[in-house]
Amino acid sequence: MPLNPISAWLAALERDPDAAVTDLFAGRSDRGQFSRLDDADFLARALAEPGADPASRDRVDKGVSHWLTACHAADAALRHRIGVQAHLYRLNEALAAIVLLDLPRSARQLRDMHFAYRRWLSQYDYGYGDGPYAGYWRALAATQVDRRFQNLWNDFVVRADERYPSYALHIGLTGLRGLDLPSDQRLLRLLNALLRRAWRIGTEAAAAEFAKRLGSVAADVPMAKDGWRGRVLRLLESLEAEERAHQHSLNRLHAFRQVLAHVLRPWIGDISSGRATAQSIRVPDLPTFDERSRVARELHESRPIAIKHALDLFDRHRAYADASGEAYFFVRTLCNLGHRVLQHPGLNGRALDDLRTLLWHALVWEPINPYPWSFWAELEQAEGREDVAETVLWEAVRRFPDNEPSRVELALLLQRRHERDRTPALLAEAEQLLREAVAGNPDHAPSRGELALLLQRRHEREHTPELLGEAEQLLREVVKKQPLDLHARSGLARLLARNGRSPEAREVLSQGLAEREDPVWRRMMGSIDEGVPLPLPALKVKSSKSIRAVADHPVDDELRHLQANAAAARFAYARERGEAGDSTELSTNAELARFYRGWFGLEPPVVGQDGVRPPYALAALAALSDPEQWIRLERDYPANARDTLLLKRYAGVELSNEELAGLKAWLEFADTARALEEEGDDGDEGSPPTSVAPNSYDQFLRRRLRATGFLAASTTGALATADRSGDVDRVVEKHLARGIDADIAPIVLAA
Amino acid sequence: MTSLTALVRSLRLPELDCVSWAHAHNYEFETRLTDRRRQAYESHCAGQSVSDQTTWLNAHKDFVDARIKGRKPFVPDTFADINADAQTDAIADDLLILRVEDLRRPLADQKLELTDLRTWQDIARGRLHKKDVDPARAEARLEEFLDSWNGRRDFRPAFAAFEHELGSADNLATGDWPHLLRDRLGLAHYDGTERVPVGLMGIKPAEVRSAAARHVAASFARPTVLDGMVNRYFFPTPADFRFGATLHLDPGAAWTFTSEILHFPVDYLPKHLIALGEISVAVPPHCLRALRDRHLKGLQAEPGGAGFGEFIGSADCLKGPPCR
Repeated sequence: MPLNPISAWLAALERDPDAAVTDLFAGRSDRGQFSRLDDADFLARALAEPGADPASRDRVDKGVSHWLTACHAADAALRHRIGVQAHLYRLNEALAAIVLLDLPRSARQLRDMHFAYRRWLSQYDYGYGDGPYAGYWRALAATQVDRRFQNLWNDFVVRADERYPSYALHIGLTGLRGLDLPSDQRLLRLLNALLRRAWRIGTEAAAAEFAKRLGSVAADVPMAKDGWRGRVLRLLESLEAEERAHQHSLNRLHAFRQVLAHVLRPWIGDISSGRATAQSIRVPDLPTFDERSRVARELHESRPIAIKHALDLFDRHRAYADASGEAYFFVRTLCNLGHRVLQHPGLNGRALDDLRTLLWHALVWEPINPYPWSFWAELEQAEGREDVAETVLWEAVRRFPDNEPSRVELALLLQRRHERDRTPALLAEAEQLLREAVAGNPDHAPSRGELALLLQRRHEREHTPELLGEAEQLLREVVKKQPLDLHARSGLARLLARNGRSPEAREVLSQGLAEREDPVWRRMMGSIDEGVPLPLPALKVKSSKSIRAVADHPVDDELRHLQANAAAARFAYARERGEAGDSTELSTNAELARFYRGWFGLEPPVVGQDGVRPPYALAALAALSDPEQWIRLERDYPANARDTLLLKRYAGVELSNEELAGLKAWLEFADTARALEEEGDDGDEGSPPTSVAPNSYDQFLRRRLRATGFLAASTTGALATADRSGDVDRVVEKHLARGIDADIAPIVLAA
Repeated sequence: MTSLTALVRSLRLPELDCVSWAHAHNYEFETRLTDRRRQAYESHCAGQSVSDQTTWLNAHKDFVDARIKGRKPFVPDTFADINADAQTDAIADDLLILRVEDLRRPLADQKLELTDLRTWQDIARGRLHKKDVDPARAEARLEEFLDSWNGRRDFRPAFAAFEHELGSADNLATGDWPHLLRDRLGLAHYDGTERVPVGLMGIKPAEVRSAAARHVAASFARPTVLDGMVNRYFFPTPADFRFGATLHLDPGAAWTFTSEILHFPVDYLPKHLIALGEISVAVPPHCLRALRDRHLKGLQAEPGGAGFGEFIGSADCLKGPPCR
């Protein structure tokens, strides 16, 4: 055993930082007399060793960041190998090390990978503060470099024990205390969060807790009692303004103020005597309900001054959100009224710039709110950047898999692109998105309506009666559940009328009118009676003429990651899997595997001693660029055998007769219910599944590959095009991207 | 004889160093493991294909990481039924349990310094006066610090000793208690190379019992070799001993029996924080074998200790001069 285990470990760190850190966490490093130290404490001790190379800290930083990356990539495998408890302990130690040792690279990785890490670690949150999820937030709070999480810290304080576990309170307080703000603003923010917490809970005990916490804050910020009184009063006034904006009764607030005054007396005296000071405290006011209504009216009437007033209103909301930590009003108002601004005839480049700046705040402050993403896509389309809008919406679909509106919007965008470009792949993807939305939420009427329309358009091109039948069923289901839904009833009537079933169409409309007088239904009835055809609603194909030249106007770093084209979405996925890279490469049509590596800046993780394996998609890409990897791919990912055959065929690799036969059988398996009944299950290995959900992705993939003539075309050689722009390329890319999605746990919209 | 037992015995060869002997003695002379706990450990080691000391230490870390340092709400083996033989409740209510706590993490988490805690504590106790910061505010701030720290602590067993053996807490607080207790309690991992802020915590047995009861766990246990990492400064005690015994690190100090106990963690309040200090001075130079043999001699001289253990018979004193 080495006399000085620290020196021995530092030497190992110098040779191979990744291995040294991995070995330490895995218990393979001899710690000598320091065995009682936890992992992070051992690292601290090592860095304190006299004569240690100053570069050791950077090496530890690199090792820890790579270790986290590897854990993220192979989470399930590690957990199974060492047990969940040991796994969680070690994760926690790595996160603690980032704070204890002040590791900037690892801290930046936590921020950059925020979305993915939050999703990864939240599955291990049992509501206690000693877990890695709490450790993650703690590390973010302790190492923050900007204010991107300020609203989250605020929310933690206000809603700990409600939306968040109780440990979130202290993490939120640490986060708010550490904000890069002038001290007075920071103090107001902290007090405001504590006050709103007490207000939310509403009990006398909560008020007493606020008073005590104010006392605690006061220990950090020595100030005369009058200063505290003024601040509390001013914040109460702000709270009152918000209650008025909500059009709530103020009775509860008045009662709360009385209780508060009582509990605060021992700490800061009579708060009512702080009125003079309160007037000197500057806190942005929340715009009133009436102000908002006025702006909405002006936008509706397309008044010339409307855009200016709207932008002013948004900015005041933003300032209030910035000061109070309450982003709700800002985000909601921006998304709702911003939509109308984009439709205003006077929209110009400057207004778009302002909206974009405001949008950035919304995206950062409410990263798990899908509505800013929808607005973002709309804004990009207003700028004529439909490709970016598509990228944004693909990312929204990925981030919010349960959010049907994102899928519907993307489906519409793809259909609009198809109207212009006539690319069948787009229509197929649009249909799949709508099918997934319908399958995901049977009560979401718009997705059913849009799918019904798409199927009708397909029917009118392809003359396939089954599609019409399906469209009718979709609409009838909505009409039955939601009889007053305008679009579903109108859509059903239109479908019936267009297909020679006018009496039924009339009946559908009559039933609706019996429930409610509606001018649209009345007009449709009239058209049917007069024999006037009811056209299908046209897709609103936006003009390619943009409001201004699509020049390289500056975009924020956050937005830059999703520029160029829809392929960026899959790289964003891969990026969240643990690799970082230069996003500017997105603008070039690079060879797929090389592109991935270029995007990452790193080699994908390889099968290692700990059995760490990259996600299948990454390993597959490695094989696509290096044929010698196919054997490893087949060996290490037996569950993905079918995909491997597909990709080999795509790459022009020879398959055996047996493999080809199996692939063919899978591809040609019919999707209709009748075929499913007829074919049955012969139980043979390699036979296609007999029970397939009607909107399954598997069906979609088969249809797409059949449409591209995949098998036949592959007999002539590799199907991958040089610039990856072919139909088959797109199917493969989307399929691999989706494969990465499958490795990622579904997003939990609540924190 | 299990393979682990055979391996442990094979570490007690003259040609092996005294650290190997220490590791072997800690396991072989551990008398307080229930059969079930020992079997679980040995099965774990067998499953990890333990074949030599290196793989044994590796497997032990996996075991401790999972079963002692696991995350809440899981209660570590120390306080679970599997450790019934080591558990005890022979702790009188009027005792004061003392523990040295490492404050680096809670300070780093909250971006505080030791001086901040000292200031608040001094104001709260009337030892310092600061404009616009009265004792109530300082106490509230201290409580917030502790509350935040409590939230991030896990359930691992807390190694502790007794005031009546260490000396009055108030007297300790005025002296160089960080180093005194570091040495007396065998905390060699705080070797003074880096400055470690520490807190002297004092808690009552009733508080421990109350905390443990909330999680259906035992309150106290005598330390065993499986309650922490493989540690050359740990020494088991004979089965009849009421408590564990810490290994004094200072060969120059007279040997005294210092009882050691493991207790279920308690959420700290300001009243528990007796003193604040820093460990910054090196551990007294010592020879591990000499320390351990002296300790064993002391144990053997205690009632119930006759014939316990084995003196280190290593011919390899880590290849030369005293190991520290």
